Amino acid sequence: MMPCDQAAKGIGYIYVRILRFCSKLNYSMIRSKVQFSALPLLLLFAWPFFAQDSPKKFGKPDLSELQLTTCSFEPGASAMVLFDVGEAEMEIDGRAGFVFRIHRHKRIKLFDKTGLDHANVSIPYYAARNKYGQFEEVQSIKAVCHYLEDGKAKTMALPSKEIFDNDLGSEGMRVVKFAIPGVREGCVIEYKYDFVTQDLGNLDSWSFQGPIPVLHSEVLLTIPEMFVFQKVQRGMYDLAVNKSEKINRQINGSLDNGWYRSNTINADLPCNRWQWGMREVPSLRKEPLMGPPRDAAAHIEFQLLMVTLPSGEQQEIMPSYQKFNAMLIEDDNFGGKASPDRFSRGLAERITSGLTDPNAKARAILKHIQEKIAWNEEGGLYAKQTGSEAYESGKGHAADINLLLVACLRAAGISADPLILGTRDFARPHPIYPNRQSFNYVVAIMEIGGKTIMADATSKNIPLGFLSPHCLHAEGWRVSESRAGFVPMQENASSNFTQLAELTHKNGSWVGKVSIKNTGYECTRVAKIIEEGGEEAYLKEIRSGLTDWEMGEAQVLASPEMPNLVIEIPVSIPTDDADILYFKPPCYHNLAETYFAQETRTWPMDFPYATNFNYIVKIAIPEGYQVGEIPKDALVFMGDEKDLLFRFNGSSDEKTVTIVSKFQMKRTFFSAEEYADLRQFFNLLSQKTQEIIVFKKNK
Amino acid sequence: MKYYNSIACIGFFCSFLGVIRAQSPALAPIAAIPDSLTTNANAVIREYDLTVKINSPSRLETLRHLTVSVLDNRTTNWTEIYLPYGGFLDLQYLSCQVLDAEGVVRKKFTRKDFQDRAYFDDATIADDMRYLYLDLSAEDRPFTYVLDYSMSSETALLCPNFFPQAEFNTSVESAKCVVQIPEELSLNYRCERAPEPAMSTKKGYKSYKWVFENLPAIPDEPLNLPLSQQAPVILISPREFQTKEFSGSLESWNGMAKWNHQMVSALPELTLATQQEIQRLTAGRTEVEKIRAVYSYVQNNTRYVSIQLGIGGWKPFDPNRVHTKKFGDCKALSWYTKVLLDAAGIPAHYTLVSAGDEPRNLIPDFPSNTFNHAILTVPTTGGDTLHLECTSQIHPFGYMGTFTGNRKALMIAGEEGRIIDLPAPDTQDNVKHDSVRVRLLDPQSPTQIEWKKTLRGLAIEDDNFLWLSFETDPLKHKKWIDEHLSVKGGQVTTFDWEAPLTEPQGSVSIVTSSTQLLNITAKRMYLQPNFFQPWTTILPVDSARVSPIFQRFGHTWIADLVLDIPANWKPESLPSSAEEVSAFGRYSRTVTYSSGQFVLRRSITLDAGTFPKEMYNQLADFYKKMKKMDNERVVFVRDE
Repeated sequence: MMPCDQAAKGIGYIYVRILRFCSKLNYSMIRSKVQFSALPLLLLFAWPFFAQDSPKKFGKPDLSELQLTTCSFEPGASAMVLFDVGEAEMEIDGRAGFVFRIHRHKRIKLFDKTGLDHANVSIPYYAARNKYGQFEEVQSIKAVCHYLEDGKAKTMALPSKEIFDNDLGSEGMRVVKFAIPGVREGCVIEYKYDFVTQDLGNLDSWSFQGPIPVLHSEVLLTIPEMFVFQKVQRGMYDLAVNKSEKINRQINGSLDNGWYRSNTINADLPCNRWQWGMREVPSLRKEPLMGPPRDAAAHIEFQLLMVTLPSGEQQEIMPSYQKFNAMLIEDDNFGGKASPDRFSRGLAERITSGLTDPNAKARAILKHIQEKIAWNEEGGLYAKQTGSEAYESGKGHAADINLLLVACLRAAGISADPLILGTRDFARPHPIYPNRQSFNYVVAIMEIGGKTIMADATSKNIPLGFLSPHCLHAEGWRVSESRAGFVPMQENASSNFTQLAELTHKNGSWVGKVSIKNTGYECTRVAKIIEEGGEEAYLKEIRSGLTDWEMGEAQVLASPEMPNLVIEIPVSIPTDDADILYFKPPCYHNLAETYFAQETRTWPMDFPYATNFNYIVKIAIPEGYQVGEIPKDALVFMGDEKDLLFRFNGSSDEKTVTIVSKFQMKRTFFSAEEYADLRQFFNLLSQKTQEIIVFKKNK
Repeated sequence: MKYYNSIACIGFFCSFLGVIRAQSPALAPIAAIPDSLTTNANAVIREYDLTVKINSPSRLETLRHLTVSVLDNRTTNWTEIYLPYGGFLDLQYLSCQVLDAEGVVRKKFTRKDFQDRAYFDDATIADDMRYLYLDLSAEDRPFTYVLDYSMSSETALLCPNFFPQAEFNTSVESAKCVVQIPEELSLNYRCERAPEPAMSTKKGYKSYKWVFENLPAIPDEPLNLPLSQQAPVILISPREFQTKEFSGSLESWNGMAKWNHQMVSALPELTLATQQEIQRLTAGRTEVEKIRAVYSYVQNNTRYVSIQLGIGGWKPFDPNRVHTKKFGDCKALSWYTKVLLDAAGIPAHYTLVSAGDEPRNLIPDFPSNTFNHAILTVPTTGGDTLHLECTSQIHPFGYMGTFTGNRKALMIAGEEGRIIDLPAPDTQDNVKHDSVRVRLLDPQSPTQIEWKKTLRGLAIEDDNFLWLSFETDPLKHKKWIDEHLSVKGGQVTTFDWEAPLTEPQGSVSIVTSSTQLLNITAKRMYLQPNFFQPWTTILPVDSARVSPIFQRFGHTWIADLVLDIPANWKPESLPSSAEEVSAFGRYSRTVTYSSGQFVLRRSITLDAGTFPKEMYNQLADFYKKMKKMDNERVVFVRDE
């Protein structure tokens, strides 16, 4: 049958194209870049997907919707998505071959004034052109506002000349924007459009949840059987609709691939058709340390696993982490960049000349790259520049920098590999099904003297064995021929802080010094503050904690060579020459105020690293005084393993009162159910460390 | 609270000329810059030449040559280059070179190396202004860059001013500005902290020239005057300008008014149906009630959406279009409100202002284009004048807050332009009042706390209170309460929120309980009585202060506490009543204790004003004392 043969050519051709996009276009990188440039909500929630038969006909007002006055499952919501439906299907589009066409149709009820801005709609898309056409397109936009006037439903349409297509000017990103006219309290806005993308391999996930409550959200996917997709549902809500069926779908189109004469495809292809929906999904509210909001939202992720050619041959796209691993190794812009080339060999030789110890070599290479190439604050899974280009330009994103780091380490004879991960604000990779869109960052991992060591060259403050704090998240995947596998990113990461305060009472003042010793991630945190704002910025932070105290000239004792920083600050506080002296120990860290302002919590808390704080206060008993009262001892802990522990001891001898308090958090992940206890614990900690010591004048 | 950024941006960034400049002589290495220019400096402007050539009221060319040495990591103002263009402005030539500390060329950039970006915010649907962006922050310090670019403008209205020292912590080795204008046209200029120009005439053009050398860096100090009131400023305004079909003059404020009047009188009249609707709405009401009714009609029927294209950056939309679409920008919404008031028989005047925290200074006897926002002025027959912010759906009627308050504005009364003062609430009207009652029945049970926070005047803008007030979602209110009425270990049982609906005053009340507010030991009980509104700001002492002290607005803070404790506890240490009076304001605290009840009333007033720099350490001392007093604690002992 002729059409089938022609289709076969078309499909084989498409397959080639899929691979090319996977490797060259770095689609996920574009997303990760946007994530880093502070627009995540916009993209997360405004980004389109596929869609389905709309439950309502477009443009036809529904009186019952217009008469709604409140969201039944989230009273007080300023707006509610009535329905958001999408249908994704494949079609043949000229030279591009198979493309996804996603019909999106959405209605939003605007309850009150603060909800009206939902009528400003933004649809971002990636408009870069390649030889097959434009990468993504937004077509057939229609928008209306339904409202009540004198009890009757009326509709006002958006004129097409009021749709503005804005060039965002960064690497082909554009955004379609429009303001729906006639919007007022109580109205219903409605819009639909088609989103067409050439990217078959990275279909964006469908989010059922957003910044406002969703009454009904549904996605429908119709895909020829030859394409095999993995679907992963995430979030804390259940599907209300979950159907699948097999149907035949007529696929028509003509292919002009440039070499053959134009081929017309007219095939009745067996397809899989899935339908998933949720109802009454509450709005997504952000909380500190909740992990990536994108992961928290109820959503479905998609990944193209393989394509079966009409010949019966199967082409694997991304069936498993092993395959993903192999693809990355083969990819020019990943494995290719991590393999030593002439440039990286030369560079590594220069940097490590005269060094023999592999640790010293690794340290020298890391330091050199950190100093020579500045991070542009973008994530990235694939390199955009060659190592020599990044080095020459002095600037690059995470993959540019850290793949060069791996190449240089390898060139210096160290067994190093790239480690890919999703950063704390980005995504948590699925343990079984790889999805390129869960990864946005690369670091280096290496074996030296039997130890596994990680490294990140994006910042000058990160020594060997440490990573930028945004990398301390979930599990990363080591991309390696022989040592491939998951690596827990937070294991052994800890932040340590010790404060020793020694005070005496002289001439009507408490005087003395506070010494602070920071190691581990506390030290890298401080080093970053100092790099960005100077020592003054760090002293300001300390000052804001030691509010009552006068601070003298601070002295940095250890050089800020990390991960170890010691600071000594003379402090004083005047007192009245009274019969009773009250002494409140200086103590500046207050986690309770940072993370526990909210009374309740919905999401688990994921701290980046374990924490150890020690406070030691030694107070010389003032002459002519005796100890009046010392705070009671305390020991509090949570969990069987005492993974959260606070110990507080006060003691005195003839000359000195000593307070020793210790806080230890071994675990980094706490469920929402543990929040109340956790909050109580941290408040107690902050209360105890501020308790007062009383001295009374001898009579 | 939005404004049309196109105009603001043009004014600040626009520059340069029409001839490619001759090669500069070799630059001295950075190490050779004298100490007088590196003190307080993160960057040194080595050379800054601005040439402005006004060809006609509708044609202007600028050429800029800027050589900056960046000394250290502490500045990003100079290492990120933003060049706005678009709309009336065209960028013609652009090049940038990066030199190392010795002056050897490290890198060269052309226009294609700059990122071409759109201005982007949620309320902006379209804007023809764009900007070119180059990030040099990755360069090793110290380094120098040389930036050359030329622009042309289709209107002389976009004539740039000259700020030789455009940033804090930046010194100037040499700067020069030349303005050329045909002999038949005239130029207004004003030199602030700067000498008069040298003038000459050549080939039919008058030429004005200013030269600056060796300006030391001005440090960015707390509570300082804006840089534009500390550094030299040359204000330049061509007297004649043309924007598309509208011609204007800056000879007087009336010229600016006439230009605006031309644009608005070209707008259609309000339809009869709408006029009648407004007449029905306002019939039988008093004058002020009519204004209130129209304002509330606008607030309930429109929203802010920004579309800035071409002349649309200055000219309001058709009011009938606003009426139908129910949206507009500040110009469109202000004009719409005006014509609605007209229909109600109330005369009102479209008014231009420089909005925001750092408004551009409007100089009454120097007409110029300093505006980025429009509001409405409504004189009443009773003699009061009302000012209406028309872009906000939630502003209390007649409220001028931190966005537009306390500054001069241009009121356009037909073809007459009049400078008016926009008011802001005074010190005693800007009040944050926290009233707290704490009850401890016995040390074993939780402390009961009632807390009412009242915000009045400018204080309604604090912590987003005004905006949150119009959210109907109780969970959003609860989140705000957890953050701003926070009691250690508190469990809120009820709360009540009063929005500033008609007047700029609102409040939040909570009832909460906690076992962690009072620190109770074996023998004693401690509390920082003003735990709910402590003064926290301190200023570093500085004996080399440069700027006068500037407080744009005055404020009042009141903290009231009533604490009930069980009868068997007696005070061991109580803070004293106290008062501190300074030139900047007053701190007072009264404390009483009798039969189980401790009462504190603390109030702070800080007045608006400009104070001599010599008084700065006095202010630092005042802040420190306030902080210390607010941190003082009360101690009770168990009466055995």
